[in-house]
Amino acid sequence: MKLLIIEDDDKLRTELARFFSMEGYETEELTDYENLEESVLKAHGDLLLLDIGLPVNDGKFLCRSLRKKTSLPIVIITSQDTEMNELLCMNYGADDFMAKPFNPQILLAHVEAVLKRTMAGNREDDKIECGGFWLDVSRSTIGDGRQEAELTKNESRILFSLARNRGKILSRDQIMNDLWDSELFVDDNTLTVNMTRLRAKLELLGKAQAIKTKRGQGYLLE
Amino acid sequence: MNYKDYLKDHWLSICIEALFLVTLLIFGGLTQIPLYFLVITGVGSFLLGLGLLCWDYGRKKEFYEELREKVRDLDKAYLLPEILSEPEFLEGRLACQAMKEMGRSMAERVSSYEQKQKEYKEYIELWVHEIKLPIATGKLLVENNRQFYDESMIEELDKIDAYAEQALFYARSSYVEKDYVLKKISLRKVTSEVLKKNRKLLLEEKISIQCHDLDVEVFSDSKWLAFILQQILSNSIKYMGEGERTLEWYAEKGREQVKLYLRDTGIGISAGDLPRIWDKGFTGENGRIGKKSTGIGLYLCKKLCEKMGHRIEIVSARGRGCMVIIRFPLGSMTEEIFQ
Repeated sequence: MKLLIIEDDDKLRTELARFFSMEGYETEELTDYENLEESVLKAHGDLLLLDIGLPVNDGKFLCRSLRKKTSLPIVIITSQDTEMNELLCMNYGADDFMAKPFNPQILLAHVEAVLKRTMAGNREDDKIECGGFWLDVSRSTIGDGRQEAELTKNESRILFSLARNRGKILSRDQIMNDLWDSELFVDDNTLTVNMTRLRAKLELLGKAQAIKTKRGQGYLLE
Repeated sequence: MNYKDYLKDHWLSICIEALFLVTLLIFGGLTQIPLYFLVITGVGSFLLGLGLLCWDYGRKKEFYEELREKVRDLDKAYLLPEILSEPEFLEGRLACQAMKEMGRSMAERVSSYEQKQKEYKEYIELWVHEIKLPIATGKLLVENNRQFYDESMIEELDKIDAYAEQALFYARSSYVEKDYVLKKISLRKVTSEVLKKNRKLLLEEKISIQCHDLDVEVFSDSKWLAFILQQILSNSIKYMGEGERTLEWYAEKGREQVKLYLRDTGIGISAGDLPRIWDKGFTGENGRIGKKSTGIGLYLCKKLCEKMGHRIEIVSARGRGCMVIIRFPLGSMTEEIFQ
């Protein structure tokens, strides 16, 4: 994934680039403010992070003229956090709008969401393989072909996060963040309860050991 | 103005005229002018005087009555000179001109203050806009250099952000012109944005969150509403107290309005404080128990709600939690206006 970053504050731009490269993105900082449009088109990125207040041309106009030529996803980051501004940006063809100061993790979540939305053919399957059984996200059930068990919203989302990161340890915090991102506002106790219930349901399929607890680190789906 | 007042006001000239008439008659009697002549002169000048007074009373009465009525009926009395029809008599014209002059100079003064206020508000907007850049960079620096900083740095940055935001909305709240956009927004979206933003604090404080029935659309400015919800959420967290720690947010759609309920199981507000919670700078008992409180948050909530045409109220009792209710009008009227 290649991320293009246009932001006129040097420090913020370099930190953004660092942050996203640590998250595994390839980044390119575009600073030729005279010919931004050409450099964006030349860079062939997968997503553009765009600031509005730019030296030569306003970011909104760049957004509009880019939209006429390319379907490149654009996420606007701005400190002018007003409804009017957001409406304008969306009208000019931006895919998302983030207000400064953003929480880096939330920005990351938004970028990922936009990428997921716009990437054709990269759609998430309704059925996810979890090693011997499947999670059906749309129906919120698990099954192995012979038996099926119903999951609650929370349980389904927990299993979904684990399945998406199969073979990796997920900390309780990460799972919690993922749940919150999907607007399931659970607390620590609820997570514990849901985990126990999820395991009980897995046991119905004879997969009680599918989710392993790594003491002090988190959970793991093998 | 009635005729009694008018006569009282003109007592001096009436007396002088009467005295003059009497002197004239006495003088006529002494110089043997025929009686019928004196009678005619006397009655004639009496009628003439009366007639003049009546005529003068009539034309002034009209003007002053109009003046009195308009001052009473106008909701902005200073607009009087704009709508007053100029009378034909001199005093009235002079008074009218003076009033117009006065109105003009006052309008100039008011507009110069409005201009100043506008400039100040614009400066605050600009300033907040500028301060957000270093805050954003700071947050990224923390994120990228986890080995040097910990969560408490992020918390401090969040506080700076919250205070800057409050200053911005303070400037906006007292600004006379409209600078918000009412559009159809989903309550679920706004509420979850606010909750997500406070994720760390809510989890740390072990507050359990129950959100339900929030799939309702209302007309509001999402940024303003988010700010209002943020203030209320901060209060809920700040005054959560011991025992059950629950936050319940839900909405209810009626025929003419949507009600958003924001309930918490905190320490509540005592009945004595309740009427004054919306006042600027009021901190009350809860402010005195050691929690940091500025008395600005709820004041701003009220003002911003009023500007957008929402109603906000609090139901609470000491030790029994708080329930904030925000009402969004939703009549057939608004549907038509916004479509």
